[in-house]
Amino acid sequence: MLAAPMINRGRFRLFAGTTAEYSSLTIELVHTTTVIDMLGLLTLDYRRFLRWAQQPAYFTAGDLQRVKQSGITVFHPAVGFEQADVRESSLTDLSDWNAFLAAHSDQFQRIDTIEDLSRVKSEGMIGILLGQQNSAHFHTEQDVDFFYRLGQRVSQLTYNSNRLGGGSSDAKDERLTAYGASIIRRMNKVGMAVDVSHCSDRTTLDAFSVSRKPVLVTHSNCRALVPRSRRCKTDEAIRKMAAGGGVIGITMIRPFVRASGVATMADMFDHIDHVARIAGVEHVGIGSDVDLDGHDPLLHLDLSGVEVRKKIFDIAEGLRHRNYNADQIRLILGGNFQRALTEIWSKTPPAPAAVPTPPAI
Amino acid sequence: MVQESPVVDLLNQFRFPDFSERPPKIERWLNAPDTFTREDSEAYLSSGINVFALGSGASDYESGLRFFARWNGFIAAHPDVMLRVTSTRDIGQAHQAHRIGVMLTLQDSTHFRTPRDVDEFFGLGQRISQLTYNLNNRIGSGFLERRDGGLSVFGESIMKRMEEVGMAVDVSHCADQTTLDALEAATKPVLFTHATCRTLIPNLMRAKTDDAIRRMAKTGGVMGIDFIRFMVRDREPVTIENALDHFDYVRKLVGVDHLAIGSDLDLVGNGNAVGGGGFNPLSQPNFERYGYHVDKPDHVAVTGLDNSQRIFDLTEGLIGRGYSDSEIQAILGGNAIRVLSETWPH
Repeated sequence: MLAAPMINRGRFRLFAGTTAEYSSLTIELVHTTTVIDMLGLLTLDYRRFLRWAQQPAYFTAGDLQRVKQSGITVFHPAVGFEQADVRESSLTDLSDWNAFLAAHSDQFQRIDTIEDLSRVKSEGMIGILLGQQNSAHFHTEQDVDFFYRLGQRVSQLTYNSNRLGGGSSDAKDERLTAYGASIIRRMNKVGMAVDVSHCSDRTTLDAFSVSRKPVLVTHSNCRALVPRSRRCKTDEAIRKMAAGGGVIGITMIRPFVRASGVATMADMFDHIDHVARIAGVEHVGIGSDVDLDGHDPLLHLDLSGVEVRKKIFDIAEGLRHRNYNADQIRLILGGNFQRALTEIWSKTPPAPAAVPTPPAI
Repeated sequence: MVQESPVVDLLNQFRFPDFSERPPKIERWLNAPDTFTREDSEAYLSSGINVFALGSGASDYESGLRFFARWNGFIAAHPDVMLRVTSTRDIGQAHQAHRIGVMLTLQDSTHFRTPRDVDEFFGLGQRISQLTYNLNNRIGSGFLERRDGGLSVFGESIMKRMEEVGMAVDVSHCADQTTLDALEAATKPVLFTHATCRTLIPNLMRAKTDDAIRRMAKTGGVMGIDFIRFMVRDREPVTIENALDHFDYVRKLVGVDHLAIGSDLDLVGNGNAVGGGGFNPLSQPNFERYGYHVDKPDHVAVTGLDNSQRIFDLTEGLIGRGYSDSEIQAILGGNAIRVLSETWPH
């Protein structure tokens, strides 16, 4: 793959059919890091995923190559179900994922434990971290255990408002409910990461207060940069998340990156900069919310000037130009989420209220 | 000989829960696949059995989904020692690459709410489904049911879809009329994954009549001989010789091409959960129809075929009865592979 023509000294073309170049330092950085896309989909086309899971021959060598070339080590391809029987939909989704993993067990690995996360790269596997973008499937606290045992390791409390709390797109900013609090406590106990990406502002803040483990924002951006977007998190929320040890994954969905006009990777990097500034570089990561092919162009959801299959290399190169050093870029590409998940999954007693992390940049 | 040919156990529940282990090992393995150790896997790898067809139960759609989620996750976690069997090529692979082959099969088809669910569960890896367990479902009647209503209209639609997608039909526990109806409706081979011969154990409704066995053979199917004591002989003692009689009988009736193994035991030789928990088969309605008898408590497996090395014992037994090498290899797995290759999609 790296047998590429030299363009300039130290710069290489990595991907066939593109003129984008990356420095050898960037390439090396990506290739030696456990990169975690904390809302990274193998495909946005759910029907295609079902075919890959249920008719394994449809996942071709070309599809695998695309995944391997992305530079992403661990995908968290969580989707949310809202209609009809959410419990059944979630169970079906997790069943399909386990079928996919059984069919492609030589290439893919379900990330269940801290050890899995630390070894997946050296074992040459692609990690799949199973999650759901809703927790309405937890009909009782025991359901947390039930779904944990099927491999679920992350759960977003709400998509739209449900029994647990409020969603960011609802008219009213609901609080976390008592039931939601009991679910968070159960998730802390079994070791399932709490995700508040789509939660309303008050539910988000309540979750930070209740959880005794770090809370993740797998895919949201900064309200300070896109003030009208309630999908983005306020500075207050980001700071409180960081105080508890959490990490926010910055997304590449255009309306959450820039309010109007052409949105590019530079605008995405602005969100990374903002989090680093107000909460510390140890609390920001990547949750792209996109796959390796991109959305239907008519939806205008994708950033301009980037091919999403190369996004990790664009991010690494772009952050180098913003003077992040190699260690910091490794943290952003995956180290921070790995540290947070390690804390969330460790069976040590939960941490007492954490001391706020001083800003680093 | 065992090592040279692929060995398929058409009904082997892998490991029944032993509730004296807290928690039962199988539960631990399924809930946390990384607890399945190298030592655990060695026991399976050295059994001589290359493919374990699980024959689990699922009482409804949701528990069906859960079964596939758990087992797919378990198999996926051990690519170096486990292999999910969804094609006959996988059977060969399990044998050649020395892997534990697991075929995800069920002893009931209640999880199919509509024929479309057949497609979904095929997609999740299911390759054999038994139309009914011991009682009625919407498809037909099991042999412990009050009245045998035969294969229903819905049952026919399920069978039809199964044949269309390539999922094998099993009627081991079905009552007589349901069995015959299914054999009549079949356009593909029908399996008795784990059964014995009614002629040799006349009062056992769980055993298959000569008529049923002949019709099964006509569909191109195969009959896995079951190693549960009270399915092999109606009284004590029950030894491997009695089980070999069933092999002889089927060979005489329809030919050795329709013989296979469906031990109805897990690896170590348990026929159900032990240690005081789980589903208690003895509590089923009309259980007396099984004609249950044992030589010592809970010892339901045939003496001589009640341990993890039973395939070797069986092979020696078949040699003793004058079966040729190629006949034995056919019984151990060749016949099952042939029949499944005719049933499963290409």
